[in-house]
Amino acid sequence: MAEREDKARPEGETAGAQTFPEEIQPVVDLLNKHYPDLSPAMRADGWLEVVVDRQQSPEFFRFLRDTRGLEFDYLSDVTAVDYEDKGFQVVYHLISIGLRADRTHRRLCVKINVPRDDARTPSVVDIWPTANFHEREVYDLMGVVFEGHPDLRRILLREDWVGHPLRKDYVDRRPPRPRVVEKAPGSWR
Amino acid sequence: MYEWLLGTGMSQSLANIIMGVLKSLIIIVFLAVSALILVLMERKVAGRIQNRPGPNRLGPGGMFQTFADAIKLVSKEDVVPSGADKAVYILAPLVIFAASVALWVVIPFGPNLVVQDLNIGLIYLAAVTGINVLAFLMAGWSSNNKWSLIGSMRSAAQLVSYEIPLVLTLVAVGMMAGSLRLGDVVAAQQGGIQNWFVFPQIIGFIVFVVAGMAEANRKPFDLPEGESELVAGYNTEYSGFRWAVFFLAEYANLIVFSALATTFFLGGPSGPLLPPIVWFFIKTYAVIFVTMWIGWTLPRIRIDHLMNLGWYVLIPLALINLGWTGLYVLWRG
Amino acid sequence: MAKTSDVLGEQQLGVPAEQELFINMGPQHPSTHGVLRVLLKVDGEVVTDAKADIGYLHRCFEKIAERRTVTQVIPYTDRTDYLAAITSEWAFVMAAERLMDVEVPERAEYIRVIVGELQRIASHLLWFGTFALDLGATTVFLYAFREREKLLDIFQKLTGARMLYNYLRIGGARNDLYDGFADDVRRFLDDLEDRLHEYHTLFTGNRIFESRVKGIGVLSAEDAIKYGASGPVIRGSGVPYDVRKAHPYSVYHRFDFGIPIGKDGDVYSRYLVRMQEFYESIGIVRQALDQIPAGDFIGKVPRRMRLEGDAYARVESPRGEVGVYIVGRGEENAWRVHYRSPCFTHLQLLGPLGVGGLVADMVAVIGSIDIVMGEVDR
Repeated sequence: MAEREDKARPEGETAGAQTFPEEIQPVVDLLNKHYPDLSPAMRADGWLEVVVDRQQSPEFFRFLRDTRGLEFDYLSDVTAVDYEDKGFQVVYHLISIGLRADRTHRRLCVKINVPRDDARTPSVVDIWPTANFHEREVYDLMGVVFEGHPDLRRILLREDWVGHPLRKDYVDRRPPRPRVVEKAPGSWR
Repeated sequence: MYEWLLGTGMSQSLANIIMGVLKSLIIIVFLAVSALILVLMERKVAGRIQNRPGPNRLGPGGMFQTFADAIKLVSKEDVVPSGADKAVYILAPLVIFAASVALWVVIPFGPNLVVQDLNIGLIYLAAVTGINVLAFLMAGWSSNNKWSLIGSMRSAAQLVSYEIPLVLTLVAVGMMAGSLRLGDVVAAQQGGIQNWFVFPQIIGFIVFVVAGMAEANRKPFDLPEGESELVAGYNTEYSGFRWAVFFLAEYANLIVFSALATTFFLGGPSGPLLPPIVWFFIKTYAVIFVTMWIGWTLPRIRIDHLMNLGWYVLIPLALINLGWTGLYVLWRG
Repeated sequence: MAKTSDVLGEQQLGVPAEQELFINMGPQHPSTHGVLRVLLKVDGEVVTDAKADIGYLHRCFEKIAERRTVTQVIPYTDRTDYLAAITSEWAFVMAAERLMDVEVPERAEYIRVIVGELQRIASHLLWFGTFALDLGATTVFLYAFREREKLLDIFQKLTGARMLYNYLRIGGARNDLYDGFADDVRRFLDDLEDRLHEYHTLFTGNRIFESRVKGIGVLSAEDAIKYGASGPVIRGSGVPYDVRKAHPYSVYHRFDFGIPIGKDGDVYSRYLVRMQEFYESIGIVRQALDQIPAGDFIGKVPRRMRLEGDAYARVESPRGEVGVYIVGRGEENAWRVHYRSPCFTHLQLLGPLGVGGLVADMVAVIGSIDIVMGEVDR
């Protein structure tokens, strides 16, 4: 496994979510102190994972960015997953980079569950400007609306595209194209 | 021949007209042939500089590649973009071509080998090079393309500001020779390499080469058409034969500039053993080679740096050169 | 000139003021490196607003990846960042391995490091050439391609392909290094070191070049973090963030290498960072060739792969942080694959970096963030 020499994967971390690697422990302590009902869990690939309610997400993200000891100032990625009946899950991957010399590069994955019939969640563009394109992409392909986004338009698809292709119930409205395979000249078939 | 025409009983003015047409035809043919040779030379030089052979398939050493390209360009469809100002669009290549041909009137290829040795040759040169600006502006404006417009604005700014140092160096040369006639300038440099104006006029020579490269739109001063920025600049919308005319005019300008450098600073057609016209071409092509060498090595300069170079460096240098020439001429008596 | 209306431009950038002009830089433009379209609002030649318009190369890679088995997706990852195919494969393969808990043999990890770093050299060589071409220095382009060609020959000998390798597999690599690979690579690296010296004398110290790039497109360290920059762009701004050091994957923790960082965050800093990364990559490849153990080039992989749970794997590609997020629900196909592309993120910087400069500076900025449109649009 790629990170087996890394300290991020101690023995027995799959047994209980309560043992955390050394550098993650302060993050967990801080999270537990301010948000006792989050129950952060360790993922197999070395990321700490929390699931947040979408109502509390803006202040939670602000808390993640501004609290000393957390300082998740780098938003690596925003994406969304369609879990069909369970609705969408918007996934944020955060890293603390910081300008100071004592970098630990803490990692945190934040997930927000969004119901299917009301696919909207607050935007984080004012917290991390980099979210601008990422949220537009999620909106474009998955149809999750980010409230408060300054410029929420389609980004990869055409402006007049109907539907959001990455949804599991997406139906391609285009008529199926007949498959034309021409016989090669001189072919014996 | 002039005498022969008069001998057939023709009137003097008709003979003049016929002679003029003949001479300009010769110049046009000469320019077209030179452009073909120069394109090949440019490709070969660029290829050698860039570690590749250059064209090598068509004919010995790729000699006929440029002919093939010329035929291709001429046989292409003539496209005028919709929304273009048609009359101006069609006129622009003609204007630039006329200007670059008109320059050749005063350049001496050898003793008595000149179309018309005007006694105000220097002023004539300065005036005619100004027409290029007009053609660029016409092409850029009429194309109905924003990149063309920016390119033509750039060329206007560039040509106007580099005209000044160019003319100032020419004035200094005129002072050295004591005449504005190009034949006299060449005559003043006769008698060996020590009499060439490049030595007393070394500052002027450098300013002339830099400003001349900018005038001829050579890399690294090819801003009006800077490919990576402006797509193709003022001639973005031109294709086929019209584009070929622009191309031809560009090479014509390059030869003019090199020929002028030869005439003013390198002794013109003078030289030992070989006939004068051979010397003229050897020197001209040497200058062209140097410009190609510079062009294919350096990155393109930026427009504001270009203007700064023109106004803050070249013009003061040219003025200093002018003052120094005045003192030198006074001291020489 | 006839009056033309630009509806899309007005929608995105607002109605232009008097004396201002919209320009469409792209989708067909020589220096947008593919089909990027930049909407520019210019006053004279000064850029007053800039926005990237993307999606011209969109293939919906993520949807395709849901319909194929994990192994079948690997060739598609090549096509995202086609100039650094190995690193995009690597991110995908690593994420899938994390989901399935596949052991990768040590030799395979070394092979990945060697190939990945060679890929970085190849990609940077191409960047060096095209960046110089953007600035109008045509000769540098062909010099850089001369070296890249030799490297691609090595790749061809190893993988059978020159650009889209389809070489990494879940659990290792497709085939072992061929006999004499180490000699080929060592010879190439020795040669490259000489050539890099040549590049520096040809291009780096050039007065025109320096005046074109110094102080242009300045990105402060804070902004670099805020805008999610990565790779040479964030390092050029002085932030020593490199996935290979921050969260070492594979066997990178065994090598001794530095992270070059820039001082000023301008185009020149990013240029110097990339130029120094050549030397670091050369060092890593040499160390890896010395240390590489014998053994298998691919580990034990279950015949029928089942993806369960979710994982996010990041690698340091030549352009920055490539991340792949895979969600599996117990099937052979991934339930969801997301590809985090560094260039996609970097394109947001066009506005902050290019505004206030000239159109020519915009070209330098686009060149300095080294975009690959296949990766942006996916």
